Amino acid sequence: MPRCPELLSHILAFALLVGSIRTDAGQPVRLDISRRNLENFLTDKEALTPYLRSDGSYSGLEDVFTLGEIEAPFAVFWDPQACRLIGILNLQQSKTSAPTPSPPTSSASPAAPNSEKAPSNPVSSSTEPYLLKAEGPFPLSKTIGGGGSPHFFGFRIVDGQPEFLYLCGLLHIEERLWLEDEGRTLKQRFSVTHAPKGLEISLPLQWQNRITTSVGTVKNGILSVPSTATSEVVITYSLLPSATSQSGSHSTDSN
Amino acid sequence: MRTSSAIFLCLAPWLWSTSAFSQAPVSQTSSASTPTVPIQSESTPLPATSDSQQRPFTTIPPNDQTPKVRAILPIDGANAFFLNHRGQIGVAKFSPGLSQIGWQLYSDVKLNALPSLSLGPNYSLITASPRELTQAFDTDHNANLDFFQALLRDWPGRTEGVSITAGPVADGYGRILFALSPHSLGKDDAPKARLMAWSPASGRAEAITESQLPIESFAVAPNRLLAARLNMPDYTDGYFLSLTTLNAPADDSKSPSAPTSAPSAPSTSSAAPSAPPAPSVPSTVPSLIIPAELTDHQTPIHPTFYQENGRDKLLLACPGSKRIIEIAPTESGGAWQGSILLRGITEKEPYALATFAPGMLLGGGDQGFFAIQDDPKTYRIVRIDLASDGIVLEFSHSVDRYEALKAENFSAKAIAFGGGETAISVDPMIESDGKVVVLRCSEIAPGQVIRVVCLNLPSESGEKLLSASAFYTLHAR
Repeated sequence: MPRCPELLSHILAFALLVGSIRTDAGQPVRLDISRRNLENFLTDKEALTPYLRSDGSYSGLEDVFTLGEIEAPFAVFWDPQACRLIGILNLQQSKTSAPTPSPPTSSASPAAPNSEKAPSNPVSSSTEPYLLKAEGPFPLSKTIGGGGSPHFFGFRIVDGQPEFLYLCGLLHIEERLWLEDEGRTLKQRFSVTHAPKGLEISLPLQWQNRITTSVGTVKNGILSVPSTATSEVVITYSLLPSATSQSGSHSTDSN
Repeated sequence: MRTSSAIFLCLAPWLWSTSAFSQAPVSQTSSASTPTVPIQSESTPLPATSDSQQRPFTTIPPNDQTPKVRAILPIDGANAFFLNHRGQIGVAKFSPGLSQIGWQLYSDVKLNALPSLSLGPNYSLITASPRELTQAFDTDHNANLDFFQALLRDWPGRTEGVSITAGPVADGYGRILFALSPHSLGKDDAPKARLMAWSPASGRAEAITESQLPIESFAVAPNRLLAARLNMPDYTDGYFLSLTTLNAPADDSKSPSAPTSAPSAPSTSSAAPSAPPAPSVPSTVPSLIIPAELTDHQTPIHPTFYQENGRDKLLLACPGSKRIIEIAPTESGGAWQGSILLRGITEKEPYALATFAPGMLLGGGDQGFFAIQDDPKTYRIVRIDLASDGIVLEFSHSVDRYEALKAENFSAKAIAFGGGETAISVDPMIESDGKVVVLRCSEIAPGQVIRVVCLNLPSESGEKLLSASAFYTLHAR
């Protein structure tokens, strides 16, 4: 019996730990929201189109929204130039090998120069610490009425989460991003008006098995949402391969 | 025991609510729903608004942490918004003696902001990043900015890398001024930096000055005098400053500084490219060179107009050397010229300056806020002027008359703009109070910088000068 108290304390600590994890599960992470200049880490030619200059080079990523949290293992990047989620960075892996964002403290320096080391010849690499890099054209470009380049209008903070407001063609789009499950799950909520034919949202091809959606059907990487449901479309990204999303009611390729 | 105090913040009643975008999304053709707003001039007090009784009061608690201040925007005689080194906007409360009582963040969002803040109506705030002019609102009246509108993301050459280098600054006509990096407007045009004025009424930005050199920072006085620090990194002996009188807006039906009270047309910033400069746009040319010996070879930043003894002065901060540079601009023959002096050396590095109230200067930096006062104990040159019979030097304390009458204790040189320098022979004469010394000399021709060094001139009580050098740039007499 002499070891019982010690054992019990270990069990209790474990139970508390599990309890705390379960308590946190599904809870939004309090986000640190910043806008920074980053080196252009995109490699897909279509995704790089908004950054193309007349001399054939690509500009850096400027004023990009960086979302994260000290304890969260991932940082999420949303770009107002392309009006899309452009990347998810594995912070643990980035400590050893990442192309890094510009130092955050330089943001308020006078006439801070932009980091402009965009790749002139996009090359994909599997060794990079980015869990996701934007690929293909603007995700809603296949939606009827969503032609042309998106135009960033601004953003607002809703319950500590950024909601980006932008226009594309006839569409008025609100896109909210937040992290849950201690930063292991990314949620992306679209609310779109002026889309009488519904939505066609391109999903990242390599994420087919790690994405679930709240509405619509997925086929060939395209999420189709009926016009009656465009006011709220939530896409859930499981950032850890082992984690299984519990909140989505429709998994990709479920049709 | 520290005291909490309160600040009131109010909202434009016609702003979008948080849910307005989804209910009444912005229309590309209609302008009714965009919360583009008129700009409040910094040079005038905030207008009394009809909803003043609805303004919520927010208690600012004492805060033991020290904000790292990069820009200060006084609201009234007791409160100021500020920008910290991370690009977060905060609000601080001060005692009448400029002691900080408390502060808190007005927004957690870390903007990619240049070190300048402008006030919009009803306590909205305008910031600029190199790629965007942004206006921030507190739409739910909880003293927390929650809506950030991209006012402007389109200007000549933006896709080719042309960026905002300085600003925003509100002028006396309800416009927001910002500087763009050099760019060409046509194939055959030489690249020029431009100061732009964005008007909320039109949603357009138009060039109001042109410059060969990029503008690093600038300020505008109520009399439309623009002071712009120009970037010329290859020149190491000094720092270029341009003084330019801005033209009044073409549509000058509004009286200067009159705030617009109604919501204006929506921003059509994406569809309304900036207009090319009008033919009469003035050129922002270097007017003065702030000598590196005065700044201790540290770049002067944050030009700030300051009125003292009925005279407009321009102050600049040198965080690297903690020095405050004072310029007294005067206009002669259509050109701006004037004196350049070392005004003081602060205890803390001044990254930001602001005229908090008449005669009260507030500084900010890594060690928070601090009052910048002209210490009456400091023995310094307070004025250098040109008179018909010589160079006038005024000191804060009476000079040692014995030393002041020795010509060899003064070195005066005229440095031509085009190069070369000439020694000026002087004959000192002390005025009766002992604080003014006239260095009588032959008339000095325009087009030169006069440099006077008081080689050995203690005060009456033996104090050493804060800086022995003083400069005067002469363009015209």
